[in-house]
Amino acid sequence: MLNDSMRGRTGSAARPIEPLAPTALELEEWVPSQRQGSRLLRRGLGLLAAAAIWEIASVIISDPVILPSIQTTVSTLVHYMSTPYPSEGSTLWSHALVSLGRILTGFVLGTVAGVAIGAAMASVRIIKDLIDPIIEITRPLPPLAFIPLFIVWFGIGESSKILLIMTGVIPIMAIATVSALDTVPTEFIEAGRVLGAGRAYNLMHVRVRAALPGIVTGMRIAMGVSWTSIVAVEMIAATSGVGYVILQAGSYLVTSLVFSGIIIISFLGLVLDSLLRLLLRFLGPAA
Amino acid sequence: MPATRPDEGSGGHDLHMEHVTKVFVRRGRRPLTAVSNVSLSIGDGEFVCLIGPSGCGKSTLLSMMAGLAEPTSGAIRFRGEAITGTDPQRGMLFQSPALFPWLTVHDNVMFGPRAQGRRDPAVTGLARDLLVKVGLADFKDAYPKELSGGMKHRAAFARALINQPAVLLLDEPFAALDAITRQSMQQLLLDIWSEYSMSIVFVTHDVSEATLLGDRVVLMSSRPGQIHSVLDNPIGRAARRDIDSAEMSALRRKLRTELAEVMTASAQQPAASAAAAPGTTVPGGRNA
Repeated sequence: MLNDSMRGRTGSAARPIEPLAPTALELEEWVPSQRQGSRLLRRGLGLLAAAAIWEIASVIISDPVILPSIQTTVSTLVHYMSTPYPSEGSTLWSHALVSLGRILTGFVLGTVAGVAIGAAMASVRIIKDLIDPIIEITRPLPPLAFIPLFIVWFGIGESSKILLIMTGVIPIMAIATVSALDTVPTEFIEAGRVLGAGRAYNLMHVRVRAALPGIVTGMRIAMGVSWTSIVAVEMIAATSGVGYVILQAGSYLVTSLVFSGIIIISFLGLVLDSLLRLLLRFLGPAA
Repeated sequence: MPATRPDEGSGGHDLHMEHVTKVFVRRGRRPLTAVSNVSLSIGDGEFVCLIGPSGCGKSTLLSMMAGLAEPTSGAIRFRGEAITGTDPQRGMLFQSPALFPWLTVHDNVMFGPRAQGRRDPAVTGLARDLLVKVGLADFKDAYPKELSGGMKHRAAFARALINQPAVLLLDEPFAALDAITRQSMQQLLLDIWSEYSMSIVFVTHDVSEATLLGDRVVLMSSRPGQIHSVLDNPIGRAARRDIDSAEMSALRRKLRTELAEVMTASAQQPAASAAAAPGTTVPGGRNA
């Protein structure tokens, strides 16, 4: 009657009793945790192997302009955390904060707009028919194609950068929202109604609630696109931000700083994605 | 919503259908008459089974009783009043348990009271009692995905019963379960029915299930869905539980023969009307 995950639950519930000999339930729970441990180990080993290849390659090449060693990169990263780059500019910290600020502004605005558009499309047939082709046309376009246009229209200030991020985020969020709302099983909505939920309650507590995991998954994809857009636009039209630092450092052949910038982006991207994954976990099981 | 069932109207008819017809208008195709001119009354505390071939409109009829769909013509009354929408007094169980995956078993059961703004301690106590009743007391904090198929249906039962419905509508709820689990669910349903004395309308396509559960068995024919015949179960509720008795076998044979007649009759209809009702399900039939 119980499935596997259920046995795991019962096992953990039985834990505080602390029997002298391990019970069958406990042994069963041991197996997955051991497997999980070895999986973590393998992932760590993969990272370690990549670092080793980098290190060995840098020793063989022995030219820090082509490939700096890990130590050089780390010391450059630490150095420019407190030293401005370029000399009249700001520290890596502030560059990272500038990029992060742009990302979050564009991402939040784009997500709000995209979810609103998606919700309108899912509830009103005419709106869906009107907007769907526009999204279908814009979605395959890389946001980067709009950079020159936005610079002409909005200059090289912050607004063109934030709008560019929104250009990438809005269609992704609109599509994710429509499909999340449309795929909520009819039986959930009918179950809510026969159980006595009014229309508004049923909309918020069943339909929207059931769609939330799909919407947050859309946000994770949109976040990736946001990073692509911001780094690209910072390379073309900016005097601050991690993308700007990477391009500048590249032109002056400070390769270790290029790597530092890349590491910062990957770190920030990982942090933001982890936050979204945390949100997803907080929402509980989706099916 | 009243916490206890009002007593007025009991002894009469819980559900009363008069010349109920449901026509689905479909884009680019001929309108489909899913239910045609059905008149039927469900007495207070009665257990009625609706049986018939696929596409005979029994599910559509049930969702109209629930208030999820409106009849195109005719009237359905619940305790004398025309049904205008869903009502927690009329609970419904679907083909799938339709538990909300993001809620624990306990929170699923509490959905109805919370949606109606009821937060009194009596409801919490009732939720606890119902979870004991359906054998899920130890799983109240589990999520639906952690439950087996039978356990999910038990949880769905508790969720429907917390509203203390006067009528329970069941749309082939056990069709997807294995034989052993189905049997224990049928037993649970009978226990619940005798304990809470509600009216039950049970849609099935299983002859044994219909003869075991139903005080009356309504046989429907398809295209369009209408009542072919109504069979009063001659065997008493207690005696029915002995499913291998000679009377039960004879009853099953009788119902099966009638069902076969209905199937043959609908198969002999002209091709044009068969094309108007393709497949086994009614398109859009469950959407209000």
